[in-house]
Amino acid sequence: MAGRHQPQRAEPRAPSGAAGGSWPASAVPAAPAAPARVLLVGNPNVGKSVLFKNLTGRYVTVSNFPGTTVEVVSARARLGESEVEVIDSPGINDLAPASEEARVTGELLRRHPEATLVQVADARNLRRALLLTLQLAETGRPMVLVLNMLDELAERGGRIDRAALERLLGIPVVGAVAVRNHGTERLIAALPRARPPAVEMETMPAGAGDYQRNRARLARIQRILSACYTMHQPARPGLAVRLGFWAMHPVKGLALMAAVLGAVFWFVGLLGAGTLVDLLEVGVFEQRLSPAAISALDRVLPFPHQHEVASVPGSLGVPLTPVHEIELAAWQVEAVGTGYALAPGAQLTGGQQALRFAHDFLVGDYGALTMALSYALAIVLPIVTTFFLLFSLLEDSGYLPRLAILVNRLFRVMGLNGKAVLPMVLGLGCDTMATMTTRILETRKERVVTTMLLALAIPCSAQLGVLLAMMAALSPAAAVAWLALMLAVLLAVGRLTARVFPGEAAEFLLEIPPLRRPQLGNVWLKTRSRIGWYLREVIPLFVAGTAVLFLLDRLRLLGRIAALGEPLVVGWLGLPREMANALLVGFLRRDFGAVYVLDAATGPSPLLDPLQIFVAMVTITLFMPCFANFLMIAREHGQRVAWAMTAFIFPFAFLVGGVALRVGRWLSAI
Amino acid sequence: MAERYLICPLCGFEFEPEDALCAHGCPLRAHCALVRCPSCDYEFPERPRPRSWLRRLLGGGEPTGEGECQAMSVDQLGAGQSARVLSLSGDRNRLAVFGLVPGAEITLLQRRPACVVQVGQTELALDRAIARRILVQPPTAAHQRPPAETTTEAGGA
Repeated sequence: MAGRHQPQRAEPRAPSGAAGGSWPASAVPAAPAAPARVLLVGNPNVGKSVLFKNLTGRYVTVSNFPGTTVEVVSARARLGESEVEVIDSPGINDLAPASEEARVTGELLRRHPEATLVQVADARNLRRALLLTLQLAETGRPMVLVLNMLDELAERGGRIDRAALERLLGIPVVGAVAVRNHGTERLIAALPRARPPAVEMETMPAGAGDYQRNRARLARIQRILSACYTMHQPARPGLAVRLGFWAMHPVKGLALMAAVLGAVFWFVGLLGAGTLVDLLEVGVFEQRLSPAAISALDRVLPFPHQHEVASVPGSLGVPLTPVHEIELAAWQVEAVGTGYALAPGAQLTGGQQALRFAHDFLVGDYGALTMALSYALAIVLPIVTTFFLLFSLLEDSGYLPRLAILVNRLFRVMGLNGKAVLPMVLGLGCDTMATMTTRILETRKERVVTTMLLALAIPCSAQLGVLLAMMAALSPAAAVAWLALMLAVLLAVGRLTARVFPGEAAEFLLEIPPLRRPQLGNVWLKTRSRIGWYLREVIPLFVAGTAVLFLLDRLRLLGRIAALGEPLVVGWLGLPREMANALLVGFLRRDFGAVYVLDAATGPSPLLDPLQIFVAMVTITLFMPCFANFLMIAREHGQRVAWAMTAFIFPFAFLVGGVALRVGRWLSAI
Repeated sequence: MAERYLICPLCGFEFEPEDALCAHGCPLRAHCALVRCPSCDYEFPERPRPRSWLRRLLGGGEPTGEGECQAMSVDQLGAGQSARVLSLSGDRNRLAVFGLVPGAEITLLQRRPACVVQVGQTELALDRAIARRILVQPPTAAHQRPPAETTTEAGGA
């Protein structure tokens, strides 16, 4: 893998046993028969994944941002007469193994020496596609070229002479509009005609580098294009093009960004974290599911006790601002709660003690059903869903790279470039998932700094929802102070980490895809796969975290550990003793801890005054990332980095929280 | 890898042999010993003749740098202006894979907050540092297009 990719000279020879190894010669398409294996290759963002879906009937991540199809997806499909394995490779601009994607593609080419290549090209960007075609031609593989997005080419006033291109390259060239499933049959019909491109190879001096080779190829492409490609810009750019410009404009772009952020805040913060959480937590869990689970378990695990019954109010409304909403419905339900009293004078036998233990484990105060599942499904799920839905929508529209341009200057302060905004925004959904996507950044330094900032100061969506709810108990000024403090921490720590960690940030070079109307099916499937990933990761952790909490509570350790942390929590942060629990829980999942604090802050009898809420918010935001995030950091950057970050984040969160308390007290004193 | 650069004796512009401009269809082709500076169009022999003892005595024959070097970097263009690329430096292949090579026509779409150039149908956002290393031929009046969307304040700086 280490050496440079050595392209073979293109000779129209069949891959023999020497080249293919274990593959029998019969796999070579000697007679016009469909190949056994098809490898889709192409530039990023040309519609490979949509074509893959058209061919195989399955869907993989399709995205407007270069670098999301990092995983390789393959599926078996019946194409015409025969069964074919279709492999989707990550999008690349250059076959030279300079990027992760190109290395993966090179590895796929080596692993499947007999596969037929189907190159998917963006018809509007034929020059770049042909650069890849000529590079692939040097491997001597049978190929088919698909010109995708022909409709968008026509819209822009371009035309490609397909027959001429076919003649010049010596391979079948098929036109397609993949998003509308046009041209798939033509491609399937063309597969048996695939053959190695018949273009003369450049004669390059032995020492020629990638750049010299690509320049020679581009010169040849210039000649090919002049024979088959005409393009004239339409006089007036379309709305999407103009909107695409606005999104990058120093003034209009910021206005658009503010509008987008406002929409995100309303949709995720108010609708998701407010209305939907209320509906699910109160309307579904507290009023229906929990009482049902409690009474069902009381029948299965009988011991003499009586549950408290309370009247639980529920409501449904459309939020306008954090404090105003249009109420649509309100109702009251008498519901059984988790609290209970043993029958007076009852003496539990050993068996009954065991039943009570199981009962408490499942539906007690720290019950797997009443606490873990209701937190995971009723509080976290709606927020995560609304966030990922919006993120996928923005991703699919091609807006995110434009956001990267706008914030490039700001990120320079932190030793990063604008590209890092993508993991950061995703971090508002899930920090653990975002840590995984730091791979799109070019240097290790950028990856580590971004990971650090994600773990420290970017609240994930579950946390964000809880923080927003806590903020509702505070004045708007406090909310602004919190935001300003987090931004200051982000910039200061980013700058510091960039200083400490050696290396340079890569210079910013980012392709801006055209702004497109998002494909709703596409958005929904992406959202679904992200939520699926999140649930698989989150529910076991919620249940495990609750189980640990339950055991600690049972063994009377919770109080003792809380007492250990008391000097710090009570003395330094000025929070009540009970908050030590929340911080302990926060170790397992930061959002989980935040939910716990929310109960203390806005429950029926609030434990905290506004300043304490503010301090708790600051500490919880900065606090240790959830355990899953720690594991992901260790996986991506190694144990040493993970522990170093932990050792910094813990004391730092306490430090900032304590300072915030003292500043707040000083401000209220004057 | 060792690169060989040519230096124009008139304007001092440094360029690679492959960027030397020669008119298409020049009948001399490979037999021509002259190269043309892509910046100022001055023609000179690729391999400078050794200076004679007489010249050395008189102190002449050194590149003067007096002629006007016309090349300018992309970030000096105004928004909406198009120009032909003369040379690249730094990690040139990173740009070449997008079709941005000497000879290509590029349009600067905006300068702030980051330079955005269009090459073919590809739009690329570039750091100022990269933009400074892309040298282009200054646009003539014929080259100028009516400025695109982002013009009014983007022209300054």
